[in-house]
Amino acid sequence: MRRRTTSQFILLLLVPTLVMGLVLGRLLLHERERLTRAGALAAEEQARAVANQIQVAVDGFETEIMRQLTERAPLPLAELLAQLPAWAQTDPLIRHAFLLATDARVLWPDATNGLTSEDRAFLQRFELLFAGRTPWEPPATDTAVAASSTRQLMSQSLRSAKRKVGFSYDQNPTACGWLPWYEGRNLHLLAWVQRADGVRYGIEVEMTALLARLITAFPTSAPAGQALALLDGQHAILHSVGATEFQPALPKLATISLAPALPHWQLVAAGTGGAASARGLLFLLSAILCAILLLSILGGGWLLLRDAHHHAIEARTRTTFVANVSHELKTPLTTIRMYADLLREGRAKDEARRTRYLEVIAQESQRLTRLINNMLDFGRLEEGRKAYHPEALDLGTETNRIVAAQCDRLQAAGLAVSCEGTDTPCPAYADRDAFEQALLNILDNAIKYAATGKQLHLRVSASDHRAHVQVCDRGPGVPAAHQARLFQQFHRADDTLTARQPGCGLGLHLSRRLLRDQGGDLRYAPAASGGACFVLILPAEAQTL
Amino acid sequence: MKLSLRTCLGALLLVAASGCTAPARAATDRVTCTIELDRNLLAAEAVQRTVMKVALRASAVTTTDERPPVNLVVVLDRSGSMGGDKIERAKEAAMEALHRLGPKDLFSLVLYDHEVETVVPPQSASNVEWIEGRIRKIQSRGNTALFAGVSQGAAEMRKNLENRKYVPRILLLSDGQANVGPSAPEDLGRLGAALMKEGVAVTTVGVGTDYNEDLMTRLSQNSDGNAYFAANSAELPRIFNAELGGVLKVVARQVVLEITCTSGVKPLRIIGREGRIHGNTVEITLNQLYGGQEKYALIEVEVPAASANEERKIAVASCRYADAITQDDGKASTHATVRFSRDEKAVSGSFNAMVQRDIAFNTAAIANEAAISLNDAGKNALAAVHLREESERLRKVAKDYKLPEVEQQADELNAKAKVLSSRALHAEERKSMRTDSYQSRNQQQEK
Repeated sequence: MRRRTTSQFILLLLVPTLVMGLVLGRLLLHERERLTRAGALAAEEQARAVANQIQVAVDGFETEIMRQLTERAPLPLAELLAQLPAWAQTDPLIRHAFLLATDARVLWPDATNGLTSEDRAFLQRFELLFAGRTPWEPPATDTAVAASSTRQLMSQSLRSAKRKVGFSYDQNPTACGWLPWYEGRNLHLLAWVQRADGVRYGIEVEMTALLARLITAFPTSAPAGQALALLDGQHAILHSVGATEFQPALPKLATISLAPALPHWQLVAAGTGGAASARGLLFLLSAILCAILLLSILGGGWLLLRDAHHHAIEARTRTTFVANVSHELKTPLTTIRMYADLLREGRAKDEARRTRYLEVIAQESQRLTRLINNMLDFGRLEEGRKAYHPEALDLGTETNRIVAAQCDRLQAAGLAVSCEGTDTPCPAYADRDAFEQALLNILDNAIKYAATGKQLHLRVSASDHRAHVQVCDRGPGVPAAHQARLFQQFHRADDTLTARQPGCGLGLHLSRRLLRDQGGDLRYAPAASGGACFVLILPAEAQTL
Repeated sequence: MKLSLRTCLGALLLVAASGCTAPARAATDRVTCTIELDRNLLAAEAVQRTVMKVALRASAVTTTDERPPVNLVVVLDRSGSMGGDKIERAKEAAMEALHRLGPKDLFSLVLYDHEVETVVPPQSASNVEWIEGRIRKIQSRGNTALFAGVSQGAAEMRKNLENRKYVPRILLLSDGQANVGPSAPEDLGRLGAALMKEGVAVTTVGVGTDYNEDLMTRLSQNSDGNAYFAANSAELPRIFNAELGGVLKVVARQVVLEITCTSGVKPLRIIGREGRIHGNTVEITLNQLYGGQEKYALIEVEVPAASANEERKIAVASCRYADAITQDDGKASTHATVRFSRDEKAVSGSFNAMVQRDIAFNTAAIANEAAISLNDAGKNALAAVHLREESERLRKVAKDYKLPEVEQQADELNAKAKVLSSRALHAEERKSMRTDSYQSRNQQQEK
């Protein structure tokens, strides 16, 4: 029956709960992933917005530079040679100007008239380009193709410049462009214009100044746990914002290329997907709540199951108990009825036999009384209504009296009773009837189970403000497996209706309760010579509780 | 925010790209220009080399209310290494600087660690209480994004740059290596050069022995600002005071000095300063001139042979500047004539001791810098040899022209040579050497 309940429990509760737990876990993970994604998306959006601003700003700057360059195309060479360096010298965003003659000879920086260290560095930097070993138009790589759309802006400005100036000279700009140039790890931007007469001129952008202006337009803060960084082609950090310091090891949320305006430069948002700590806390909280829900379902189910199991056991115990009690009651009643019938029908002819019949009837009714007393006491104790009337007793006298009263039964069972210490006064303070009932239960048990031992030894002693009555038999003793539950109600070592000895499993339980309620105890110890030893303990004097 | 950011950025770049145009109106002579040669007589009938000293002297400001207002941006390193006494002294110094400014001046404060924060946006220096409250709250933390700090300082500066009445000055204080963003001396040097074009001078104050003096002096040098080395944070208030004293006396800005050599005279090199030699003209740009102070350029020229007793005009110097007080454009010009003689004794006796002294100081500074480069390359013994040679040369100059200051300089070089012959320079020695040589090349008065 228990197995069925358990399997039902597993089927109806455990499996759905587990399924629910799994679903909840999946949902939570999914939610966390969604939140992380949303954080990454927000970070990417912010980075994209900044990247757009940078692109727009750089495009605007480039358009303006190109406009100013193309506007100068119609100028005579000498004027161009005067204007370009002057322009480069006053504009903080222009590092250097250059002018190449028709035959690609470098007119500016002017090597014939002395060079500054900056001039030399410039010429060295663009040596390959000026020597014609590198094309002015960057090769059509992917970035360049992407660049072409933005570069339309430039050609538009070129066209508008043509219109505006009207070009009364022949020197129309035939080509112009922006050239990203790498010297070591550093990016340089070169704007150039080629005229129809082959003269080529342009400027180099002051990248440091451009960068200095770009970074001041960065947002001053990034979401918690995130950093936004501008990286160059070598992934060196040019600038970073955010409470968290940007580190290459941080998980990257978004990488946005700044090509074509600033080829190979990237804007990287890194960190833990937005307000990670807050979100982590939320996730943890949800996980804990789910776990609590699942645990309470499982725990509640388990408690219900245990309860049901206990109920089943209790019901069975009661059934056994009722059967035992009925059996117990029936035996003396049958005996009494039989002897009463014999007497009534006058079958007992002689006086001696009648007297014996009557004794049997009296004995059996005493047994019945004891049984019913036990039942009543059990009821009272269970309901907490048992009232005690303690008084000062001499346990030796009491024990002698009770044993004398039971002498016939004990002898009939074949037990030889020996008493020790009953003659010396042993004071105790207890309810007389309760003590008697407890001792009787022990004696009954001895009669029932230890008659084979032939001997019963009682010893009354006093020690440490307590009176002890030890009852030892030489019977088979209590099997070790049952010792722990010896005093449990309804427990019987042989708990079957077909048990050799009748009983309802109340005696020892009741006795212990009775003694304990008065400040004493009932203990069991296996006797050294085999057999069982029960010790009844009672307080020597009234206890102030 | 996006929109404002974009327009702001766009505007920034456009303004810069279109360059500056200045009204052309004559002004009173705020700046006078003089040319002196290292000797008054030149040997006749010989091609020879001589050094011209072209000096610019700004007249002293007499009354205090005449002084042009200052736009001062203090850029303060608050990285973790500034903790303790350094940051406290720096705060003290910043407050002292604030106290020296008047109600017409602008003050702003930018802090940087691994990120940058404008703690005090540009505003009148009369808001003393509020600004002081902001300064007191500063605490040290984080890393060193020096480039971004200066960039932000420049951005705060730019808000009032259109108004030409302000004397713009960025005061950068750092005790560490720049380790976030561009951090090579060249990068900061380029930034300084770009700021120079906008008329902004960056004064750098290095504290302690950990900062990168090359980076700091390059930034100062390229923007024509001052450079200071404070080995001890206790010197900070004094340095800020000295710097402010100079800034408050600025009388001319964006000074362009052009020297045209005539009669076949050929400029060979500029001693101690950066400038451009183009044919027979030399162009040198200075950012700001202080009242009562002299700044000069030394130009070595080759003079063609001339007959005895001939007097020749060998150079014309003209100088353009913006008058910081009236905001007008100013001009000054002068020319140099020289007489030739056959009398060798007279020629050698006609030396100009002051010019010789200035030349000696500049060559000593150049020798110092060469020694630093050699020291960095691990060739300290070679550096010692060079310094010793220079020391001997200076000693001779001192003896010939009776210049005790040069003698002292020679002794100093000799002492450094002694140190270098046995070991490489310590951080502090290198810093003081680098800063000193820049200061003498820049003719910085407050040190």
